Amino acid sequence: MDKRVATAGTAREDEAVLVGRVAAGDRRAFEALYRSYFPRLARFLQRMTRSVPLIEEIVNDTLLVVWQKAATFDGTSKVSTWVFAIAYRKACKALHALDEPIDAAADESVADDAGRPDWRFEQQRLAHAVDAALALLPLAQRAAFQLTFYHDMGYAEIAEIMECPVNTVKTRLFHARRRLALLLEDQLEVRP
Amino acid sequence: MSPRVDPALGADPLHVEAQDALPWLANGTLAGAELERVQAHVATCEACRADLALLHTARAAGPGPDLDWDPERALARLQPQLLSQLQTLDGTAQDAPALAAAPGQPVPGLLQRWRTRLAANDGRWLRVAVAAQFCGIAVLAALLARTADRADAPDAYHALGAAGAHDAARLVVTFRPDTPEAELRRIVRAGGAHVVGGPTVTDAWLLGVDGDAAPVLARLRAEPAVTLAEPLSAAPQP
Repeated sequence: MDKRVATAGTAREDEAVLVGRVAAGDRRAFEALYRSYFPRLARFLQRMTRSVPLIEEIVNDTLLVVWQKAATFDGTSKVSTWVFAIAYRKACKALHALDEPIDAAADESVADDAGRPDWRFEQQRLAHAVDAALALLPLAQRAAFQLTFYHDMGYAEIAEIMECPVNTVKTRLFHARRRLALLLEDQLEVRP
Repeated sequence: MSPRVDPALGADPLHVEAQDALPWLANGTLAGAELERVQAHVATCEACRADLALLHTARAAGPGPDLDWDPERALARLQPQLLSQLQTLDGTAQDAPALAAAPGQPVPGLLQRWRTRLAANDGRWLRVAVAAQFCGIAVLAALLARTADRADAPDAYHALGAAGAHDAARLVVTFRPDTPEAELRRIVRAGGAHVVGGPTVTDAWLLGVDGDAAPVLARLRAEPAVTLAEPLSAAPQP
């Protein structure tokens, strides 16, 4: 546990150093930061829209803000909190804060998995089921769920990203998992 | 999944707290006293354990497959905006290093990198070239100014016909046409003068004198070879 905390602390410092170099106009540092954050942001955003060009555009808009405003990053929060907060705002703006369900397209690739080993197929089936259920949640609940389960963030950090009180995050998560439980009732077997 | 307020448990604050905190117990970010309280409650609450098991299952299902987004493609689209940002900055941004090769892509050769660098639309070397030209022009301007300053120096070269030379001349002297040059120089030196100009179109010589010109004039006039010796200053013309 201590080792994990130490590693996380080092990574946090490395990212802060990288942002410092970006603030000085170092494009190589920016590209390193870009390649580090692109997949994380894209996975976060693909729950909000299935449009790949739009995902790439929102990520670019987000990281362009990072490039422009790196000098204003004061280190009081984690770099990831700062970057995800920008991305969340950009996404809400780009999607006009609509809570429209995304087109999950979850069943498209299920048939492709038919030849895979059973455990792999089961994993894919679960992922698609969760994917489809998440797609039916309001955007704010979906975002809070993802940041918790797929980005391993604490509630305080999520509250900072979503610019809302901690209790709001907890309530959103509570409602999100309650709805997910209903939606997944017939599809998801609990693994002890 | 159970509601936060379980009918069987009533509004047990520990149960409510645990229900709120279950997602973060599942992702391992709970800490300290809150972690201890929630773990202690979950150990005794069947409903919370069932909810936690469901959350673990949902978490293990993963975020689903990635769409076919491409970081390198997106970064390539962003580069022009970064470049324009650099060009509009006040010059504090450092000259950007060459773009790093994309992961998984072959590193371009030296020739290719230089071709890329020398591309006419690459603002990096254009900025350097403009700065170098500016420095060159500044150095040339400084050299030119220095040369102009030297022209006014006391040891500067003066043509005999220049105004400065005439300013030093105080006497005008003519000699017999058959006077040898050696004799001419001897007469001037013996008279206490020195040649500062001439011969003019009328074969006159302009002489400079240190000190009083009258005795010099008298000595020159006493020489048989001298046909004319007159001061150049406000002397009354005949």
